[in-house]
Amino acid sequence: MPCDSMRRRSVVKALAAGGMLTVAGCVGGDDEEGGNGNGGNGGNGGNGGNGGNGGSDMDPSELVTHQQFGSDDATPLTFWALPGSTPDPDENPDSAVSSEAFRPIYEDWVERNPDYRIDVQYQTDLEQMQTQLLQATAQGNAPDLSEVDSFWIPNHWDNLQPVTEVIEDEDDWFPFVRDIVRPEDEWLAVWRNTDCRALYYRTDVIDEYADGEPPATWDELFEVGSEIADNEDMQAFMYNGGRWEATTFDNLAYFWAQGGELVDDEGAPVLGEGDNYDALLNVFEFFRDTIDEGITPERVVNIDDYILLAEEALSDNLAMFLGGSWQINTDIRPELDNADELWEVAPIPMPEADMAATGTGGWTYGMFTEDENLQEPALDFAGRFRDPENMATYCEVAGQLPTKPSVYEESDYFAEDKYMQTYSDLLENGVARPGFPIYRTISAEWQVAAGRVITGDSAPQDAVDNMINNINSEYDG
Amino acid sequence: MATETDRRWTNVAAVRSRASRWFSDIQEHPFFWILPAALFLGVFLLYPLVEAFRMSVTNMTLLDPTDYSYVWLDTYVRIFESPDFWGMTRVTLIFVTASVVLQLVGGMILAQAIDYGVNRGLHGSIFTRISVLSAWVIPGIVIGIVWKIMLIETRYGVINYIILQLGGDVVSFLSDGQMALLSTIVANTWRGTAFSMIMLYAGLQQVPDQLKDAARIDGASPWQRFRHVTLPLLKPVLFINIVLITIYTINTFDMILALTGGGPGRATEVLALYMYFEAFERFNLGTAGAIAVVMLVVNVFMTMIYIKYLLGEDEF
Repeated sequence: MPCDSMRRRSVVKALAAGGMLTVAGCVGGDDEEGGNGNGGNGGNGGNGGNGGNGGSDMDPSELVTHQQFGSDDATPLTFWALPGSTPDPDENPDSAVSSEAFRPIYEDWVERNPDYRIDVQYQTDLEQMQTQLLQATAQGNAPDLSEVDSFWIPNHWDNLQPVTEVIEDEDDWFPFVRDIVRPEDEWLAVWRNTDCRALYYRTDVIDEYADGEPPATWDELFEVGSEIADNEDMQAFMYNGGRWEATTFDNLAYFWAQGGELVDDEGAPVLGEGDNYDALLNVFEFFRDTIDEGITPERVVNIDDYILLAEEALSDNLAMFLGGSWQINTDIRPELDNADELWEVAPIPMPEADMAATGTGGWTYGMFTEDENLQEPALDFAGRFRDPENMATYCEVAGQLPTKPSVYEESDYFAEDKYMQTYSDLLENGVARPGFPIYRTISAEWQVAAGRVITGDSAPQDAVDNMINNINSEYDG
Repeated sequence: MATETDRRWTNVAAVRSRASRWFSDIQEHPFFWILPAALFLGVFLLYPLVEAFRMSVTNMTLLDPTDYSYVWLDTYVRIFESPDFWGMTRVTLIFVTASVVLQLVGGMILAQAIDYGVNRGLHGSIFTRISVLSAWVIPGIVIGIVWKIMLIETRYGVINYIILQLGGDVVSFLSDGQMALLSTIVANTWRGTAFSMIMLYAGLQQVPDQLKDAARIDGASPWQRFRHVTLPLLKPVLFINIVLITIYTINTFDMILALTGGGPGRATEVLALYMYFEAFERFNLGTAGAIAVVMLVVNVFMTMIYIKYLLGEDEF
């Protein structure tokens, strides 16, 4: 009995001691955080603890780890990043190649900024990252530095700090980059990589039915498409038509090429007004025509992933599709030995030959900290990716497109690869989505309307009118 | 000195006695026994419910949940004035009604078959139960993806491949609005039948064999025995089963999200999915809250109907 009592007491004491130590550890941690002079930055819980990297006397390669770039005793900056941006290939095998491209860039930064370190908080869910970044900036506790989807930039125009001094040659950026990240005089983000949409076509089929010239207009598309549909055991043309973002984003190119605008400068929807309405209606009538003319199967309403288009193409079931720039390297080249002979890319066919547009996305580095002491290392970090060589290295391994035209001339890969050269031309007419909150409703309603028109559930005009009513109703609240 | 010690002991005894009475009072008072459950329900059930209702009368968004104002019934008015809402309500009604009926019928057939097999010592009844149950334990998202693969509308889709081998044409399981709704109903029935089977099989174990034997001796056919003996005795289980699968089905959105995403158009967009899209795609917490309240009212209303008609006025 005394023995039991002793044991119980010992256990209670051990638990109490453990609890005290835990509390002391927590308090100590807070004190340490509070003492680093880095106010104004916050975290979102991030990804758990960090074992630390050691002192600043270590080699830069040892100071760059999955969760920290720099030494333990340096002044920290918080950095929100995508999981694929880790320098450790073991942490994210899906992007192991990208990790190898990132590592030397991070090491370079550590070497140049020995007094600072970056604490990385990886964001595993893109939707949540967008929401959390918006909430953090609204509450004044944004990270010091963050990877920011180019699509979100307009939401943060008021919060992002200028990065103009690391931009260097302001003319050496594609026009769509300037439209988004330079709303006034200052550049607000370094746009690291982009992508675009293009017409993928089978060269052998187009050689046979269009003398090797891919369709440049809707009329040409219907003409060659009908020939293919009538004579080949394959679908002529497919595109994203399911309930997902690409159904809007990819096909917005038709709307933008006609001069259509979704929102005004204040973010109010204007797509139902005047010429915008006509342009919108043309796009939805085009959807219906692709079905009626027999060049597109109705099942495009189930296409909710780019890979589905590639699968159709790779199984000899498709002659042309509206796809993403990365697909040649991620989906087609790895699967076909003769990919470069069999598949080509071209501008998206438009209502008229003199029209051109393609949707562009991609990722940027944005600086949120207003602390002047932290801005210098943060700017230096963002500036690493402005460097054409770094941009080319990353974009090549990641299958992305550089945002600076000079890279397409100076980098061997981008200068010599025929697809990259075509994309470079397309990016001259690149358009980024408006990042205003109402875009989410516009996109969702576009997807619904597209589904209704493609299946014949609604006439194009009815679907467009319903879409505009819903968007305006949402905006008016 | 002895007196002082006695007084102390008397005081200690009095304190102990009071404490004992106090604990006794606590033990006898139902409030303290209900308190843990009440706290649990209050924090995890009532508070979210009240919060959802409060959200529904605001214009709160996920972009900045702290910056909102009370718009009271405006959100409800906007929802009810939207033709799309009534379209989705119709889709929900068809989806729920068909799923509940099919799950109930399928569950009853399976339960009867397993009961028959067990009573006669047939092999495979446990395997059958496990097989059916596996559909129930698989997450809705996975079920949606599995059925999507099955229903691909090319020659490579599992079901379309079989149809083509049998000489038929490719069927538009997901790109035709009506077929897509039918596909979601079938997938949901496949998923939910196991639950009905478990409930009804348990109910069947409560039906006395003597009653069925007596009916058999009196010359009742199998259908008559089922209709006049088994079914009336299953009534309480049926009631619980119908209420639960109705509520589960009304609240289903994960499987539909993976299978059709609510499309084509809004052909398979049920109210639960609409609520999800409003909250997490468009960030409109106010509208999502209003839809949640509407769904709650529908759930409560349907439960009351079932109670009234299945258990009768007296029991209600």
